[in-house]
Amino acid sequence: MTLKHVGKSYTRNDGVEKTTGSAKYVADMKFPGMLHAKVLRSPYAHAIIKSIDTTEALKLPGVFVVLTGKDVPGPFGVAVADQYPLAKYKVRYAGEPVAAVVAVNERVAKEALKHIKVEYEPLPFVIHPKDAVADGAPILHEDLMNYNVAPYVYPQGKNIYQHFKVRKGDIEEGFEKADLVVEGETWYPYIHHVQLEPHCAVAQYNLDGTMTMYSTTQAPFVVQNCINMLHDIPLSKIQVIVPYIGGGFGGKSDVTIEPLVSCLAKAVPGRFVRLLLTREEMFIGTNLGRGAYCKYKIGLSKEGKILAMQGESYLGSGGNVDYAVNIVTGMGLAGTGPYEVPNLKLDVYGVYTNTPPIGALRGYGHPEVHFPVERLLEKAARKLGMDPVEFRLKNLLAEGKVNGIGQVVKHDTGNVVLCAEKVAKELYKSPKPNKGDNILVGRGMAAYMKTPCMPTNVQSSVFLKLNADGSVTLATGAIEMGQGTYTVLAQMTAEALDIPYEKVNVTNTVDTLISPYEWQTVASHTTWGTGNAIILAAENLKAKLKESAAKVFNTDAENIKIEGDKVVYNDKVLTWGDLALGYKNPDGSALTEPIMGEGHFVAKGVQNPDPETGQGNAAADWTQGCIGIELGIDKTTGEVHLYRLINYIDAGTIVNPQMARDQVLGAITMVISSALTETLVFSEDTGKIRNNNLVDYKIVGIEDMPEEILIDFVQTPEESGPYGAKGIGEHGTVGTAPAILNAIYDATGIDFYELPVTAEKIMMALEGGE
Amino acid sequence: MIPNVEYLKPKNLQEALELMEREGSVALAGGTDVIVNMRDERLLPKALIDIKGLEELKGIKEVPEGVWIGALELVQDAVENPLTKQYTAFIEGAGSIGCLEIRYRATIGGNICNGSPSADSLPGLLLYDAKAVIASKEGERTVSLESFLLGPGKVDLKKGELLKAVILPKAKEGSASKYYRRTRVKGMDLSSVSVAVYAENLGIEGKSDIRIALGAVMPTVARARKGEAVLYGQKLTDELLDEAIDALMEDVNPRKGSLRATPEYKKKMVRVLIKKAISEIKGGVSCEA
Repeated sequence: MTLKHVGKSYTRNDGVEKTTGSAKYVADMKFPGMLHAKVLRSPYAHAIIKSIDTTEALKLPGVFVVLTGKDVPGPFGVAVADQYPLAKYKVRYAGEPVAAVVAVNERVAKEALKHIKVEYEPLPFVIHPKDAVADGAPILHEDLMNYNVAPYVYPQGKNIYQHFKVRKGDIEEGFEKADLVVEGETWYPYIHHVQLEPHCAVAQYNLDGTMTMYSTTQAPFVVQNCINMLHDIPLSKIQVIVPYIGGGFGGKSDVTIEPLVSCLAKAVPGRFVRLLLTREEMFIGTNLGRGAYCKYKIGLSKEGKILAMQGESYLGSGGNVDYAVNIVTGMGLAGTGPYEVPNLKLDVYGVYTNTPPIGALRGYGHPEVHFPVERLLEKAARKLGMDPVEFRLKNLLAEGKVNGIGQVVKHDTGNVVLCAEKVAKELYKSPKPNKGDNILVGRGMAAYMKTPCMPTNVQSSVFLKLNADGSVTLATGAIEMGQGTYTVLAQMTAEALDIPYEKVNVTNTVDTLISPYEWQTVASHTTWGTGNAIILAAENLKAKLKESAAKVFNTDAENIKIEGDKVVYNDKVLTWGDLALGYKNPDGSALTEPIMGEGHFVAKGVQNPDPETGQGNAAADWTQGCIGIELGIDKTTGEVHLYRLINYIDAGTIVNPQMARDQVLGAITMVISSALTETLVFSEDTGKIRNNNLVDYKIVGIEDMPEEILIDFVQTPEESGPYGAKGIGEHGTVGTAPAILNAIYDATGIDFYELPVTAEKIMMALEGGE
Repeated sequence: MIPNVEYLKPKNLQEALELMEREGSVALAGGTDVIVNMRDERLLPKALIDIKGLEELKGIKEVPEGVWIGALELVQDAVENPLTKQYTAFIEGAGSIGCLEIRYRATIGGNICNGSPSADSLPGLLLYDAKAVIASKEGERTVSLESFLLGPGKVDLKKGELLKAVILPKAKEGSASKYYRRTRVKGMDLSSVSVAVYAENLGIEGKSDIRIALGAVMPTVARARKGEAVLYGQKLTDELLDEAIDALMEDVNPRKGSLRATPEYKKKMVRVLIKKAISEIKGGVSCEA
């Protein structure tokens, strides 16, 4: 099949709007009589709320309402019902909302916060998941075992709300046969997404019992569901509207501020209420990411075959964990990395900690577990005296091998072996450069794989509206948050309908009242899921064109041909436009109906993993790749200079090479940052985040980027994907940290197992001879 | 959102100085620190006196004592001005403040008066014994810039006073200087530690004058005079340099609990960066950075 539009680097269809500043975001929305909210947040990481007095705040002119825990419904949660829109009885992280004020403007609301008196009884708190499972650790949810949980959640008590198991082969026998066993513990710290756009929601509870909410969410239909659960409003009367959003990275998926804003709106019926977070609040009052402690042990034969792997991982998940449950799953599904492991035992625990809730963050459990796997395999290769490339190639999940959850790798699963070979060839093509006496040069690589962790029956629907001029409007529930999805969807629409790309326009606002259903824009699954829906919708639209034309030409639909924008029957020709709104007879009477294509895609054959073994067809697809890094360490300062980055990824067919490359690089950049500099620092005294700002939460800049970047593709078409495409947005995050750390190890001989590896840590290790 | 504040914009210096007499007045220049501090409620002025329009505080010109830099001079303009070209450590330091957009907004006077122990414009100015010209209704007074810096966030400005200018004494023929800093990322960041070194007749016995200024390791940016004294007039050897650094370390006492670097790392970097700067000035090959 030759493709006309898929595979071309079209310019983004949202480019002009965004570069000229005319694109609208939620914070741009202003409504008559709009009120403003501010949130009082807990200064303690763990405390009992003894009393709250809002009397003085309510007296302040301009204050409409002050809500506290007693005024809001709950508990709610899709996986674990463990949270309230405002804290009740106790707080479980510093930053947790305790009260909220709605006032005539932000200034008054902020002033009113100072007049709310809260009496706390501070409790011991715990930040690190390892500490949270230790004997005597403070318990966050005393009543956990009685909570309502989804069927796939298995609370263990104390602070453990989930235990995900993977079992394969005979682990004891595997280790018995091993000639070499390597062990290690890794810590991927708590980090933040640092989206450019702060979280914002504006909601109105209408006097007729309906709710309208504008929000910066990646998941309007999840928000709609949540409002339905909290307030018992029918789904058909909940309108969640999402324009463009300014970066999500998972931190705007599921729900964040929306439950609270819905309660505030309900408290002032008829009025719009807006909550716009400050940068500081984004760090303490929305979801964080990572926070994974892993303890791995790998057994190998002297020939360099992996014989056994045992992993115990703990995901620090915050004071309420709803959406961390599926990250635990991700850490299990991908817990081997892209390697064949015949004997496997993985235990992943989800653990409550006194931090803001941990949610999705680009990578979703995969970078967390690739970190120990790739670090330890590097160590094993060196101990065996084997070339790390050759060693990897021996163990990678080539076609025909079986992955950790029992799926047999098929041709279309992707070619991680080829990715690794290409990276290795490029990375080692010449001897290490000489960068002077003070610079230690090192090279490292890591292979990776990622699956979207989705509901088994994940759904995507689209409509293709045919306009009277023959142009087509794609209506989707998918969110454009900078990733370029509307461009890719337009390309696939043009391909499926065989019309020019310019003739396709994509609705740039999602509205749960009218947009077709889309699970949420996460898991790098939009190209795959929504793309599949587009193909179905295009077929549906073309069938309707043929049916209409058949009526006009008084023949059967099968006799009609579609040629470009023409509908042809023998020598008779109509344009799509002639049929778009229905064909009229010469006497003016209508003959056919307006035309809209519908496409409804649901993933089929994806199963829940077996609760005892984790085995099953639980991963819809895998995107795989390999990354190589060449860097230099300044031994006088510990500073890291990135020289070369090489990445080959097999994400099936690439729809838009330029944007795909940018997505991969963007993902890698986020992890260059978390590998070398990012970490949230919690006060030892109070458990508060000390660096909840961009002065002291450092993310890398353009100056920190590698001098040379090569990102390329291996394109093995994915059978389940539209035109062979599958996800690519997150995957760059998965192998980057261990690749950098493997390169640092190559340069210095120092094994780092905790992130971030700052210049200071390198310096101290170099001097300390660690 | 910044707290409510009275905003006043005087037309000339005289008017400004009168407004500065009022209790709780704070001068607003580029606003890159003042507005940020107000937003965080670390600074709660009664009135903001917007001095941006004061021509008397602008310009860079040659004066008999050296180069006069108006307090309101934009950082980037000061960095690019031909008259500051020979003050390498100053332009390298000031040129590392924030990012280009910030440097086109922030002023030299603002960077000084914010009193940050890590201010990047200051080490280079102190090397050259820069002076601060302070204006009040009573007239002007001139003090050494180093003595103008009193502590973290504190400078020697009394009620009713404004920093009018700094004067950089003439740079001596054959002198050279260099500024190095360490930051957590190469992108925009505050200095974790900074070092400026000036040298004249470097290592020539009887004539050698090596000056060192340090940032982010003491309550203010300051000269490392104990180290300078060891080096003064001496032939420069590795041993002597280490001795000088050991001597200046007596005054280096970075605070604990910084989110930017530990005291141990800062101290190590003081040594490394001083050596690097001297090696650079000597024309030796230094490491890549």
